[in-house]
Amino acid sequence: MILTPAVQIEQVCRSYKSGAGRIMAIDNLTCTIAAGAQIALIGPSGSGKTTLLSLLGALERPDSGKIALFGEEINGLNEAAAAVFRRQNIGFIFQDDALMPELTVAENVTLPLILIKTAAREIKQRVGEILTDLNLQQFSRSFPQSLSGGEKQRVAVARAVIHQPKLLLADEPTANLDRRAADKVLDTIAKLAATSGLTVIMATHDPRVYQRFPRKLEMCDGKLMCGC
Amino acid sequence: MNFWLRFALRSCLRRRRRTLITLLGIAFGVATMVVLGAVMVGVNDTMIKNAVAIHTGNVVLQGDSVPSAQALTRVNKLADSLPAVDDRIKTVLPRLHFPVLLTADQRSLPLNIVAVTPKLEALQTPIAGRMVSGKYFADSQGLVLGAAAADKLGIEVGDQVFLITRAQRSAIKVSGIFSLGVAGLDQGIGFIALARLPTLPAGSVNYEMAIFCSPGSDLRKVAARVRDLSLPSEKVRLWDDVLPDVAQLVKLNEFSMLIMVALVVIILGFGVANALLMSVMDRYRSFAVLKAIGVRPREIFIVIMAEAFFMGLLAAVIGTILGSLVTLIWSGFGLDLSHYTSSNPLFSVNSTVYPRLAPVMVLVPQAAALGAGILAAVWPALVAGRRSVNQVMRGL
Ligand SMILES: Nc1ncnc2c1ncn2[C@@H]1O[C@H](COP(=O)(O)OP(=O)(O)OP(=O)(O)O)[C@@H](O)[C@H]1O
Ligand SMILES: [Mg+2]
Repeated sequence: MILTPAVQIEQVCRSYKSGAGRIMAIDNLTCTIAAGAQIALIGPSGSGKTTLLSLLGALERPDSGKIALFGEEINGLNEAAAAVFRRQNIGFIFQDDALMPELTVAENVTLPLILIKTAAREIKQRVGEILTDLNLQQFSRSFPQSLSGGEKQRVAVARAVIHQPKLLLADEPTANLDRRAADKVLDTIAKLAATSGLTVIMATHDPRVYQRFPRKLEMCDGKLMCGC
Repeated sequence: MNFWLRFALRSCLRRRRRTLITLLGIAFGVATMVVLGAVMVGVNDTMIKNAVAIHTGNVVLQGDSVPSAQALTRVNKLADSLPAVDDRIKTVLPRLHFPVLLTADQRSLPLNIVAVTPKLEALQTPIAGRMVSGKYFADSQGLVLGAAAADKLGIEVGDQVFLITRAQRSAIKVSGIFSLGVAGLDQGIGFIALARLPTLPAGSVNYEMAIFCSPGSDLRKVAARVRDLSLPSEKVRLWDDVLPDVAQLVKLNEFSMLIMVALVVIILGFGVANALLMSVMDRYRSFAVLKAIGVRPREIFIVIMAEAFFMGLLAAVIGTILGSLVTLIWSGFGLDLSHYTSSNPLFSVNSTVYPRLAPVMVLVPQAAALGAGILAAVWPALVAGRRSVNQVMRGL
């Protein structure tokens, strides 16, 4: 049986205006990632990691080329359709500061489920489960500002996976955490990935992070160096 | 409650100080409009009341020129039947008019005599309170006339004068002199009691029933009921039909108030837009994260609009309550405008204005402020959803 790959990127270019000229943030990139793979996206600063994640999350449109996730082409989606695609298929984790300050921890985690119109009872049950799983149940009624950086990031992980997406995109999720907190977040992600068959793509500079990943994609100047 | 509405409410509550300042700004604007509106309504009330008291009543039934005996019978009948027609009718005053030449010694003056029922009339007319000499109908025998007329003829209270009509000439004693400060009235009108009429050679008279209604009554409805009782030869008119100059002044007043409201609303709108835009710009990051999670721009738009709606609604309610309170307290002692109105015939009778809350003038500022708040939120709400996630996350 041939599985549909999680990610198919064909000759994708994305450039940005920069002063007088243009910067090729992604330069004619082609690559395929199998479903269920866990991949570290590495490369020097400015090599295009964040840009690639944005393209994969349909937050950005490529100038040219094709991007398909799980067989569905996403480069042609308009903004609203892209949002709907994201809420169903993608979980995002940012470097920091990504929780809604006006919502409690539990409500933050609830957000993706509300977007896919989950029944109230199921929401309650699933949020309870995941907070317990990630050892966050004692914070469920707290507001994010009272949590430590590591705790916040674990809440962000919970929010990114609560709706059981097929693809988790993480952009340096541990860059602002100390060793122990970082390990805890990474352990959490690894555990979730192992149990759910989630495809994970995580951008990072940190060798101690990418060493944990079986497969690495290295970028340089918008191109892939090796690994594909 | 819908999640996005709850989210909007939380956002407002979280930015308590900013919300409060915006809210107080709107509330103050609404309160100001409510109070100013009430003052305007009060000014109009006073003008109408003054004009109506002397001239027409709120609704007037006017009869053709008929012999005085016939007119008397008719007005007596109407005085009995009209008050029962509609419970908005407070008082009905019969008034019979006829022109005379008033003479004393060698001098004479044309005068319009109005025959009235002194006791009832005294309750409505300002003239009873404006006597400069004698009394307003100490008995039902005398003539009450204006100071200007008395001066012209050189007469005082107690003097005898003659009323000359085409038919006859008859003597009457001056029993009171009033001064309203309005030339036409002080020189042109004299009052006698209805009871005196049969003894005078009035000939033909015009009669009317001045009908006074409780404040805020729907005069059209009252008029319709009165019309049902009237004879084909009688006309039932509203005061604004009889006194178009006063009606126009009232309209002019309302129009300038409308311009005021529009101005305040526009200023409020810009204030709200500014406050919301700042709040949106502070939260670009939040909105970017929401979009990354899969929230559509439309939903972000709804959140901002809902915030504006909540704030506008609460502010409108607070402002209305505040404005109404101020108005109610103020209406207890009124506002003396005599300094600004002493030469204005419409205020010469009574220059104290009592601010009054008219439903329209309370609801218009409220609706306008709410509308302006919501309209002002459109631009910030669009801005909130439009920023690209990538740009926000890079701090661009
Ligand atoms: N919106 C933008 N406007 C202008 N230039 C941009 C924009 N987004 C990205 N770039 C440029 O594209 C290039 C790739 O940037 P990107 O953020 O993807 O790199 P990165 O690998 O994530 O770097 P880092 O490791 O520092 O996060 C950089 O040169 C960056 O300046
Ligand atoms: Mg980056």
